[in-house]
Amino acid sequence: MSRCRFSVAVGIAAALGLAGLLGPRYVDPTPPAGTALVFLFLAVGVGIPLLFVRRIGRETERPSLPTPERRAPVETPGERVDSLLADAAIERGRTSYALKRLHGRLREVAVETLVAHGRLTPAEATERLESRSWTDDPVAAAFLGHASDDLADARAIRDGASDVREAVERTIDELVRATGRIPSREPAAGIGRRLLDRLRPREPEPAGYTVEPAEATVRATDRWHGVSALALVGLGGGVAVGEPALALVAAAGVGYAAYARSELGGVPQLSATRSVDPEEPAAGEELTVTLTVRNEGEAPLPDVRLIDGVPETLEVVAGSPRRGTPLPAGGETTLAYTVRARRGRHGFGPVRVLARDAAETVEHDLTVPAETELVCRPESAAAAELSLQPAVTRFVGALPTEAGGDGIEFHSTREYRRGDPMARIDWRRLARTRELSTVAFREERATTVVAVVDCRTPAYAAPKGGEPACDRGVAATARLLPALLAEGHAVGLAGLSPTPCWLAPSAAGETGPRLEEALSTHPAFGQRPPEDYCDTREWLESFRARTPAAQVLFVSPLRDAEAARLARSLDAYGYPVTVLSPDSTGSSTPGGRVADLERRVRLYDLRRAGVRVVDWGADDPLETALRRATTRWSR
Amino acid sequence: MTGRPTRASAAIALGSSALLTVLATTWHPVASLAALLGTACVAAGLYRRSRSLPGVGFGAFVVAIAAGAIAGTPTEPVLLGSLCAVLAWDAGRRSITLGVQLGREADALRLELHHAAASGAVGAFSVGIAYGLSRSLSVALPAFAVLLLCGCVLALLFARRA
Repeated sequence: MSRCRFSVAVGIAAALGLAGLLGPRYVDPTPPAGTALVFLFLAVGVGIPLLFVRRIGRETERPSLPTPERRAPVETPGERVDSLLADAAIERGRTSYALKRLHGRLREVAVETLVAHGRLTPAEATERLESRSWTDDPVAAAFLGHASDDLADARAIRDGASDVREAVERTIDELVRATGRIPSREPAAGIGRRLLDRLRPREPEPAGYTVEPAEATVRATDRWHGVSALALVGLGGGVAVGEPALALVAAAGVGYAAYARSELGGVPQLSATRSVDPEEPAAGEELTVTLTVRNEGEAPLPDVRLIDGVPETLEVVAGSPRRGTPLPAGGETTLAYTVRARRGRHGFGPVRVLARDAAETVEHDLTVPAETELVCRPESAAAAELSLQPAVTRFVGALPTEAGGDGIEFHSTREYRRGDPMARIDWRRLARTRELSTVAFREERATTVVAVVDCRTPAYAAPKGGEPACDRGVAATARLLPALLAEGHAVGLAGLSPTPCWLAPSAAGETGPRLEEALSTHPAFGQRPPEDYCDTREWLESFRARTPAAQVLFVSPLRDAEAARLARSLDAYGYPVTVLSPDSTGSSTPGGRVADLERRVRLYDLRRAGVRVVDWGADDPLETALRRATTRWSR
Repeated sequence: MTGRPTRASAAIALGSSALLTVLATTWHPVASLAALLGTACVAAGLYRRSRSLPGVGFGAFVVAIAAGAIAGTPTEPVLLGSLCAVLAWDAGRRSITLGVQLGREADALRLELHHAAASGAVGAFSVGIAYGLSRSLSVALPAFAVLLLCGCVLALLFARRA
């Protein structure tokens, strides 16, 4: 509180006291004057607390605390479109910037969709949009038919649709119909629901995952500001109206004001130990973390609040990594909680401690070191089989080829040539026709497979509450590659990421463990999206320099056009490409639907270009997706 | 981590507010109205997780206590009411702060009970001493009140300067 306000409050109280000394002579405290006095006093009584009220509720500095229970948030596909839509509006006859950008984005998606599904050139598609002949829905046609700048007088928004959102939803519906599917969207929230949403308390924002501060700080909480109002009102009022009860109420105020002066001495001395059980978990396994914090100082700590430094890559599934407790000198407290292990290396950070004194007027903010490292083995799920494309190398293996030669399965017969092995002469035919001929069998050969896992920033997006596409991709790769190795193929691994990761194809025995190790701990497949941009053209050049010929298993959610372009370039350079695409879209918000539409157009484009695609839905097991795709390819 | 206020402190805050409101119904209509308003503010603060609403509620409780005392209520219920007001404010804020810092899921029960007991004891102790003094000393009120006033102002000024 400012000294000025404090003086005002003291002044008013003193004036009231003075009035009290003189009061009984001029004011008769019996009714109705007594009632008038009640109201006069209330006016002052409300006035004084109000001087304090702005300070009453506030604790001076609120520390930003880590939220270790939750994993660091990842992008949801379509969230940018949704936030544009939330901001999009027509204000005073002018189109907002957000609406212009949203409109531009939808136009791009519409052109892509019409080019892919309507077999048009981009110029023709744009022409269709402008002539409004691409759909029968007048709202959608008018919305995309306008230029972004003059949407303010777009008929779609003025006449046909109730608001911008409706126009956008109907446009997306029409685009989905243009791809030959039936649109489905979530019903708009009614007015009652929107009101309720507004009243609901806000969810706390994740304040950040790094455990600050680096050094211990101490701050005043200003917690008891306002209790002096009780003292002042009691004193002044008690004197003014001659009521002993009010003067005694003041005593309570003074007592608390004195309590607020009692402070904790010095910085708390704490130590922490942490144990993790089991120490080497497999991904997906639940593990118990036990943290013990001990008061090493000689003074008791009346109020200790602990937040354990759970790595941002792990999720707490049971219990809480927080605890509030008093700690006597030499006393300790133990808390336990459960986290679910994820692939890779995870580092637990120090424990964040907020320690207050008994009256909670001073808060020490410090960290107690307790580093623990955890390495998770990859999930021990059964290997999954991927049927490869027919291709040829010189080594014998399990892949049936189109070439005839040594093998088991009958392929063809041809005229006998000098030097053909006796075992392959068709003796029955010789007996029948007196002609020498040789049987050729379908040759089975090994091939080289390189898995390319997309771990660029867009691949880290996840549907709400789901797993990031990149994680699913890495897990699927870890299951597919052992099966390929077992069939005798040479298997390699490349990360499509700003951090280069390259394991040359090999069929040797140690390849399996090396692949497993790389997939679980190599920084290219880290748990957090990379900060740098990954230039796919440069990446492709270096890939080509390293890999003369191989089948490519490209694992990517195809969230951006670059991923689809890369798949087509690989195909164009003669690498037989199979795309395994974990779906990371899936929300039914307008943004989620746009993201889904774009991804489907990319899949459709790739299939049309002859690239094999496995569309792996968010809820499907990998086997189901592979089986469905294999049926599709063999048709 | 939901950030919802902790249960024990919220219960203490609401219980104290309710007790004060019940007491105030026998004092004066203005007192019971102010106490109701204060209870509503404390409850709304707990629901909205707003740290300033319990403070506003406390302001209303002060008004209720003042109105009660002026209306000629006996000393004891007013003193009990003032303790309830401070406890409701203190526990309400603690519940919200602990909710934000540790969440309802974390174990903080011992801490909450510890603080509530300390706050209650401080209030009971200071009110008890003053009450005892006023009963045992046969000094006329205005002089006693002025003395107390000076003492309080001095104590507060000391508190501000240190």
